[in-house]
Amino acid sequence: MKFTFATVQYESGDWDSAPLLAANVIDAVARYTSIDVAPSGAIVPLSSEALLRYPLAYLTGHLPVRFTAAERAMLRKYCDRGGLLFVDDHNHDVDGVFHKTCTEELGQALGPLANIPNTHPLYKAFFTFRDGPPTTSHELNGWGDNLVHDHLQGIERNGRLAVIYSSKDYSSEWSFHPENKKFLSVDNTRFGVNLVVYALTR
Amino acid sequence: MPSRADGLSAPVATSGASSTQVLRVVGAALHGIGVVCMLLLAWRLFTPVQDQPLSAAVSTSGTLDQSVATLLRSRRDTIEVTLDAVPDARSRAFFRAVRGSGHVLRVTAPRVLPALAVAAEEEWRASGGTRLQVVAADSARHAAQDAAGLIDSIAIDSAGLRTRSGPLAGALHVGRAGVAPLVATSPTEARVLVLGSATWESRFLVAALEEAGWPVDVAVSLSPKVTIGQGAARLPSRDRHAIVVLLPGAPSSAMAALPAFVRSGGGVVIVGEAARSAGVAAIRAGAPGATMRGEVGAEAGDEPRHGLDLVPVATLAPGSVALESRDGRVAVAARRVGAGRVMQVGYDNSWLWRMAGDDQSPDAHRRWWSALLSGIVSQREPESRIVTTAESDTLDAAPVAALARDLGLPTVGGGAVRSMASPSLAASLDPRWLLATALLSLVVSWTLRRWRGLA
Repeated sequence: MKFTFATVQYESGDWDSAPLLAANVIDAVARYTSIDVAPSGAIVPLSSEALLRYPLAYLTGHLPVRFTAAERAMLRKYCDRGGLLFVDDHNHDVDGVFHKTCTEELGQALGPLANIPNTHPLYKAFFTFRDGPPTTSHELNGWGDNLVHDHLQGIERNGRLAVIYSSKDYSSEWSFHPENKKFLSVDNTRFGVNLVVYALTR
Repeated sequence: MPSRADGLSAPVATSGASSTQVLRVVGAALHGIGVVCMLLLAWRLFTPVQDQPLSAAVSTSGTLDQSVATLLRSRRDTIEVTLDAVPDARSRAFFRAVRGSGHVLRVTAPRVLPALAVAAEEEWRASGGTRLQVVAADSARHAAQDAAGLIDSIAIDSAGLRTRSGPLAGALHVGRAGVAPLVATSPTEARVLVLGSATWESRFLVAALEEAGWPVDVAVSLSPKVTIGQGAARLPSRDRHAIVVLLPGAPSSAMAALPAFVRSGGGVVIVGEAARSAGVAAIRAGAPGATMRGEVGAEAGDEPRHGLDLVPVATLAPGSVALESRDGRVAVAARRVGAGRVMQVGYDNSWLWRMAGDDQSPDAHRRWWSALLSGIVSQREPESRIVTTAESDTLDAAPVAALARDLGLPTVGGGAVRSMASPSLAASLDPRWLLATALLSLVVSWTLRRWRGLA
């Protein structure tokens, strides 16, 4: 069964704010690894049992997030069964509405977020990122909260990392057509490969 | 005219003649008795006598009701044993020795002895535990107990019973059957190496095995030049690994080592599409058939493995045994290769069972995989079977089967045997008594003759 990159669809907010990200991550995984990856991603409702068929799922948005009871229950089940949810704040803003509401929802459903140390195996799963999560151009340009976020955050369930939360706006950083990677001196989607490899091997 | 003396002597002579006559008759009779006894003694000594069999019985406690010394002192050729219960190991050993010394041993029982067999094996679970299997000839309820006391009351039907319990304290006894549990190789000794590529199957299989207590090394290929994993070893090694689980996409260098690994006593589990690899063609349980797609959603139903893709074993290799089937196709098969065992599991994406199944599915998935691996790992020998001398006297995993092996099954109907025919005449004549009687008779006869002469 091929690895399929899944984007989570939730009822509130704008879940589809980074439509090119999936294709870009899929391209990077196929480019650097021999992982058998499906050529196109999947969109899965958060409240659907179908989410359980995608143990790595990506969730993003700009707008306030309010999970329904069914979404909250499924999120808890998904993480308890071994799923890994990668959440990225498309606002890259610690005071933004997505950050405030999404972290609140995650806290209610799964527990509080905590910093992931920059020595975590996530940063060595395939490529090595000695300084932790790679910075994005949006952070360096001083947009949003004007901060370079030193850490990703996470929530553990049953001793395993179940949620990875990013305020770094990879949704903007990776939301370009894969063909345009040839204009980059360093492929900025390599951390996406680490995410996928970590999910498949942790 | 008769004299006075004549008058007196006539009665005396009559009386003396009468006494002499009596003594003569008695002496002759005693002489005859003595001669007869001597003749009988001679006949007895030269006539082969069938000894009266010595009877022994095994009481309901399973032990002999006569002391071994009594039986050993008897010089009988035949010993009849009546079994009211299955004899214990010590009694059977004695009977074997009696039979081995040339005696005839007849074993009877008033009724059919109820067969019972029990096996106990430690399970590889993080929490520990024991797997019990009990079979009985008749439906019955038996008490299971170990050294710590009563464990449970077990109801056994004609199909036998398989159940689980916690760790045992010493030997297990179920009814008259007892067994020292076979100690499975502990997880610290039975390390598993998972070979494959980075897939959800490898990721969730490793998680399931680790949760079940197995120490796991992992080597998964991420690209032609990159293999990552956990643990020190990336290649199968009998010094380190008891089992190798082969998933699709494993590094070819590792696969090449598998035939030698299994022939030297290792266990190999070949999963799904990995059976198509040329490197395992010589050891797989059978040639794989076309992939059958799982029924979407069935992984959450009553038969969760119906929801999984299946690479069936289309043609079983010689010596292979089908262990599980689905829709008429072999789903799991096993075979012996050299000193090791190979299990071929056709299910290709069992992770869906764990992830998308019902609430019990993570545990069921974990137990299923753990049981598969337990089935192919070689048991530790021989210390797991050592029991103390005291225990060996009482432990019989299958006492009736052991009786049949040692002495043969008893003839049912002990009453008929007990009322055997009376002993022969020769056997009833004791030579000692004959000799004593003959000597006494002849001596008395000779004495009477002497006395008569003096008179």
